[in-house]
Order: sequence, then C-alpha cells, then structure tokens
Amino acid sequence: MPEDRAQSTRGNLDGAGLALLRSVALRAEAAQRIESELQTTLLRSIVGTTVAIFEAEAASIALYREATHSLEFVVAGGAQGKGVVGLSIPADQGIAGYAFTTGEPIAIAEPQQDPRFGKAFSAETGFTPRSILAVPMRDARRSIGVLEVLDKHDGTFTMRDIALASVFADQAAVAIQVGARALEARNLLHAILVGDVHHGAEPDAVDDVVSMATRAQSGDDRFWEFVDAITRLRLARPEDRALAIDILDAIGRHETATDKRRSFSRRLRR
Amino acid sequence: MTDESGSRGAARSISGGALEPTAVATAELLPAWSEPFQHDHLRKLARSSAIEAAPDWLGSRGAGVTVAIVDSGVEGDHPAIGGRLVTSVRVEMQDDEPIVVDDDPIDSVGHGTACAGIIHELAPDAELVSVRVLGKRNTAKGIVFARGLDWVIEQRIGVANLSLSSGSEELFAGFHELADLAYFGNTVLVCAASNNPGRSSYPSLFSSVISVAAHDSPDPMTWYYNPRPPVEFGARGADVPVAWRDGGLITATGNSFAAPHIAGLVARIREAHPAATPFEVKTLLAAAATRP
Repeated sequence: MPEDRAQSTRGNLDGAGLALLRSVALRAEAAQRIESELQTTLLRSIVGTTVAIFEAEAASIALYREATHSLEFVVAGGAQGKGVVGLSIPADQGIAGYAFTTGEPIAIAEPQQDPRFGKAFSAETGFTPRSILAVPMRDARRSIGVLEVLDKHDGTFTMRDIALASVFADQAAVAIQVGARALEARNLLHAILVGDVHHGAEPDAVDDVVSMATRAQSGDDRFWEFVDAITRLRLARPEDRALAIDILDAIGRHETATDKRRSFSRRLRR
Repeated sequence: MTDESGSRGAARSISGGALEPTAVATAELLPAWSEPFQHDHLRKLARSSAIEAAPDWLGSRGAGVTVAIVDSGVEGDHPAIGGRLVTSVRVEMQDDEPIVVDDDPIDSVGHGTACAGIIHELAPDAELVSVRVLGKRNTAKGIVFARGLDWVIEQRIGVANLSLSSGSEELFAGFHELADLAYFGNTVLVCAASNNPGRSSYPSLFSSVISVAAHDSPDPMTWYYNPRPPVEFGARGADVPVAWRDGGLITATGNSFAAPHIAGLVARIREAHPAATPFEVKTLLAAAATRP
C-alpha cells in the first residue's frame, strides 16, 4: 500500500515540479553545509554559559556515535576544557558513560584525603578534576549525549546544580535534534528524487522560481546568492570547480590569518 | 453510557480523588528533588501504633536477607563491602539474546560499588549479589537491564536496588510485567527516581516499586514518605561519601545514592518481618518515615 501511494504521488508531479524539488534539495544541501557551523556555535555558547554560571574550570558536550559505540567530545569551554575536543571515550565507561547509559545525572567529588581517586578520571578528561557533574542529553526516546561540568569553584555540585545543568543539557539536545531534522528533510527530498529526474521544464525558469522562494525564506539575500553560486558549481566542469575551491580556500585562509573569525553569513552581510 | 452515569463518574472522582490534576501537572515540570516532600498530611495525627512510634525492625541488620545490586558490578574486595558479596553475574548479548553468565567481582565504573557500600552500611549482615548490566563488555541496552531484573526475580531475591532505569517505550510492557512478577513473587524493587519527571523511566515510575529521590539532609537514617506521585520516598543523596572503583572513596550526589539507603532499610524490615509482602514492606517503611 505505501508503495502504491508513493507511486501515485510521484505520478502527480510533472517534470517541472520534480525539477523544482530537485533544485530545492540542492540548495538545502548547500545551505546545510554552510550552516552546520551554526549548530556548533550554539553548542559552544551553551557550554560557555554553563562554565560561567557554575564558575567551573570546564564544561563539555560529548555526542553518541553509534558506529563506534563511543562518546565524542564536540565542544568544550573553560580554561581546562579545550584539550578534550575531538577525543572519544567508550559510551559505557567513566562518569560520562554512566550518565549516558543510565540516563541519570550524577555528581561526584574527590574527598581531599584520597590520593587514589584521580586515576579514575584523568584518562577521560585530559586533566584531573576535583569534581564532576555529568548530565545525560536525551531526545524523546534515548540518550544522545552527555553534558559534563568539571570543577565548580565554590564547593561541590548540589542537587540544585544537577537540575540547572539538566536545563542546559535539554537545550543542547534540542539543538542537536533540530540539526538532525534538517538533515532528515534533506535526505527525504533526495530519496524522493533519486532516479526520478525529469527534464521537462526550462532550467532557467526553475532556477528563478527557486531563487525567489528561497529568498523569501531569509532576510539575507546575499546569503542565498552565495548558496546559489555554490549550487551552480555542481554543474561546472571539474577544472572550473577546482579553481573555485582554490579561490574560496584562499579567502578562508586570509580570514583566519587576520583573525577575523566570522561566520560565512556574517561576512556576506557586510 | 448515559449522561447520568457520566456525571456520577465525574462527581466521584472529585470527591474521592486525592490528586488534583493541577498538582500533578506542576510536579511534572519540576525535577523530582526540587518538589519538597509532602509529609504534612499526617502531621496532625499522633503516632497511631507501635509500628509507627517505635518500629521493631530498626534494630535489625539484614541477616538472612539477600540484596541484589543491578548496576555496573561490585568490587568484591572493597573495604566498604565488608566481604558480603556472595555472587556476581553479568548479562551479555549472545546472538542477539541477553544471557546471564558468571562474572568476576569487579566494577567497571564504581557506581555499583557505591550502592553496595551504602546498603552494607545500613544492613551489614545482608548478603549482596551483583548483577552487572552496565559497563565494559556490555551493550547497556534496555533488554540487558530487563534480563538482569528477570534473573533477580527468578532467583527469588528479597530486595533489588535499581539505581538506573530504562527510557525505552518499546520495553514498557516488558518492564511492567517484570514489576508485577517481582511484586507477586515477593521481590521488593527499590528504584532511583528519574530526574526528569514526565519522561519515560521504567520500572521506577510503576506504582508497585519503591521509588526514591534524594533529600539533602546528611543523615542516612532520615527518610521521608511523599504522597505526591511519582516519587514516594526521599532519602539521603547529597554529598554522600561512597565507595568507588579501585578501592577508592568519593563524595557523590544524585538519586542513584538515595535508593540504596532505602534498600538497606528494606533489608532490615525483611529480616524482622520475613513474611511481609512488598505492599506491607512499603507500608512499614512509610509508617516509620521521618516527620517534620
């Protein structure tokens, strides 16, 4: 039955409709790649706020990677946080692993008198903290990652701290889910279009319609011009594409060298 | 159904219902431990019996009672366990089936040892059984946890400490069946309440278990009964000195550490009243709870 329905839906789409969908999908893909930086920026902002509120040495977010059954630290903030980004730990080990697998938050601290304590943590965090708070990030069905806070300046983590950190973890989980939904929407479009491209409509006319539609989605005309330009490059000859990549790469390196770390969209808005 | 029967049903739920819908809705927005424990509903009653005034079970030590710790394992030679760990098993997946196998007396995290140490502190004569469903060589799936719990019930173990829960809706029915099996099979399930009310958390949300959240008093013998669902009991869970892996000792906070305090008390009740059912155990625990 579902296949029949898909068939009839497809049958209702004429060539122009499909070409339109295809163009939207291409733009969605290009925009997704450019905007993925924004999700990281948001997560970074969440850990930054967490560090400030708890006056902590570090805070970090680790996301679950199903293929390797591991937790990968994707962002971190605070004086002691940076070293952990990019590291992975087994998803069922350590304090982060415990919060992840049980879905329960946990706060632990080193009693001043116990020198044996440190080795349980240092491998996982890159330095040896005196206290750790780990809160699971969850979507509606399961844990998707962990928010960790290390070394609160003022005493040990309280139950109130756990409740507060849970709010930040929920925010981070929503940010992850929004990104995941955008990816799913893009994949859905691709799935509809795979092997089903009709060239019935004038390509230029379709481009115009899509450009108008996408501009209406954003107050930032030049951003979508940029996306359109990149999308068009898919149709370019390989050597032209290589030249365009070299030019963009050079601009990117120039920006880094002058330490102007602005997002693509902000740069375009100027 | 007639209009008359419909309105009678509504009237009955108002007059007989102890719960106001708004109270439940408010509770769902708050973390379990920020809702103050509501024990004032019994405040005006005098201690009505010897059971309440001077619980006869307080002096017992859990002798003859077995407590299962379903967790990350228990470090058998940790000084905090006092040599009371008698059996260690773990659940592992073999050909997509969860299988219970013998395990070494080890703990891959430290958490199970922390829970076992608290239980031993409150019920020093109780025997401890470790059921490892978390950590190394484990997939930490809901089905692994469920099989571990199933094994505890099969073994007719009197008390099980579950400082973990599953959020899997697919396992709702399975966990419900296990909670009923435990209830009628005379295994008391003591479950850490989830920190996220409104989210799935099985079996801690089921009414047949004893669900526990942390209060912030430092006294291990202070526990509250809370008539507002879903969390029924409050026990020590903030800044608790606990055993940890590699013979260590740490300070820990969380509902995970409140549950084993109640599990230890349940072991005392089970020694003093071996014939008591899970319902009676819960009643005795509520009757002797700390009053303001």
